[in-house]
Amino acid sequence: MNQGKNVVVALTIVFVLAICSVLGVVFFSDIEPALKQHITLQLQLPLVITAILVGAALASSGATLQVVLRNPLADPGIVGITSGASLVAAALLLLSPSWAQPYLHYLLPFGCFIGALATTFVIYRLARKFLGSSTAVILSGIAISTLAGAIIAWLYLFSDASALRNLTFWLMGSVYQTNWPILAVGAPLIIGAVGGQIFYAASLNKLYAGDIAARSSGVDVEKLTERSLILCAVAVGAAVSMAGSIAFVGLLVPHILRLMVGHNNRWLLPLSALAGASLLLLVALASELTRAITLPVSMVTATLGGPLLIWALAKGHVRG
Amino acid sequence: MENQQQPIISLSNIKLKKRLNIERLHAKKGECIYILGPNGAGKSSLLFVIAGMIATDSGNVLLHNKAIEQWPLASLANVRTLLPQHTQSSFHLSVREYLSFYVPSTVADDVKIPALLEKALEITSFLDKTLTQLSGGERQRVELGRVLLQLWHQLQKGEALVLLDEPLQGLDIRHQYAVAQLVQALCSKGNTIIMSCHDIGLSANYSNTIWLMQHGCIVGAGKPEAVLTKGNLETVFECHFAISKHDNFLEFQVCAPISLE
Repeated sequence: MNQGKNVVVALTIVFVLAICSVLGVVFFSDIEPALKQHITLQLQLPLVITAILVGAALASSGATLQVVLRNPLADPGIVGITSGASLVAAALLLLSPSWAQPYLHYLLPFGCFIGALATTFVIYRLARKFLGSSTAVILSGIAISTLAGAIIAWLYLFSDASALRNLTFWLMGSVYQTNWPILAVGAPLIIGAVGGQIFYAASLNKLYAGDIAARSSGVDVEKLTERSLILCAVAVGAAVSMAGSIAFVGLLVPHILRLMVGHNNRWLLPLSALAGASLLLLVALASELTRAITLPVSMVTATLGGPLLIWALAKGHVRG
Repeated sequence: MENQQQPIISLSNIKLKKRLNIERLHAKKGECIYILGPNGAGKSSLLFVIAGMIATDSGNVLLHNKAIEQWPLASLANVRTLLPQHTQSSFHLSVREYLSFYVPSTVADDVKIPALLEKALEITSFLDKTLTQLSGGERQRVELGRVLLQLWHQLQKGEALVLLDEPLQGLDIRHQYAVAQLVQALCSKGNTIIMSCHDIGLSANYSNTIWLMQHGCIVGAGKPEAVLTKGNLETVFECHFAISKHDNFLEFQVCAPISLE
């Protein structure tokens, strides 16, 4: 576990440094103090908290989903949970009447959660039906996310320009969309859900040997599966409602950590949360430094994620 | 004798779809029971019913005199353990990690294989390999280790009930006999072990009770010499057998399958 300790130390350092740099970008600029304070409180701090919460939610849920669906390829995006949540978000943004607009901020998290929960439920049913065939679950997830994408594209056709701009932001992911009221709803949901996932870590470990082995060693597999999936839906739903759909974090982060610290969920889940948070902080920092353009988060994570994942797979292949 | 000792597990009027139909069956503490029967005879179903893993359509299963369905899963896991056939994992777990998940109350990742287990299973040398690197037989030895470690403290006290579904499958001949000896040694400590097996000769000489099954029913239950008669074996396995005895060692020769003409 020596390597594990090194990883913890390294991640913590990255995490703290990233927070400091994002806040420091404004703090060390030459804006007048009153404005500086205002920007830090109203923009930078929500940005930092959003990045931490969203990254932690996606990475930890990805790790949980991989174990629950017995599939190392599972990820909230790939199995369609993210797109279910985005679909509801898009529908709410585009279709809600104008009088409802002021309440949208509060409606969105719950809408996203419902979308996430609905797709999770479908995935769960399919996973039960196709149990043993890990490709089938992934394929049906891809089918669901493609379908959700298509419906969103149809909605595009029937919406006006201002709603469109809103939506594009949403679909590419952004950590700049939050404010304190949104965080007040989203933060407890994510903290609770990720905490719950970590709480079940020891039981999740027993799923590695399959249903029968887990059950005979004292785990109620049905209950555990249901609860973990609901926790993933809550975390991912809240994350999507805050930052839109962000690709790859849920697949990439746990995968690389599995290679470094192993598969014990007691380590893997909290470390995934920490690493996911750090990754999104770095993306936010990159965005801050290239002030002229706001970088869509998905673009950055996918640019980083693709090559890293291929590297990780090649390395894992050599080892395994 | 019957009245002296309460049975650890007792079954009465068990019915499970078309798979099982058992009137009365019990196991006493310290018994070493081998279940024999052709494919599809219901050996695995019986083990699963005894383990409390599947509910029966009717009948009672009593474990330590308490109906099995009243046991919470977590307490069951502390008194009995089950080795299923075919476990697979698509993750590249190391054997050490894998075992550590099933050993109760190990916060540290260090798994120590007890000497008695190591002698029979010889798994220490591949603790650092990943599961996917193991051969079928090596994997089976790891599974046996996992299942026994789950209850190791009870096994040492001689209080455990161990249910093994074809534990010898895939093992080389040396490890088959090593595991059979381990099972015998654990039973002599007072543990009760019920396992299914396809090797009639090994079963006859290493068990103290045989359950012979066919079509979901118990054809015979009792001491090996009493149950494994030529007549019984020929009806159940549809083969011709020759049975001989050398120095208290029973030997079974399969001559030819009985054709259905």
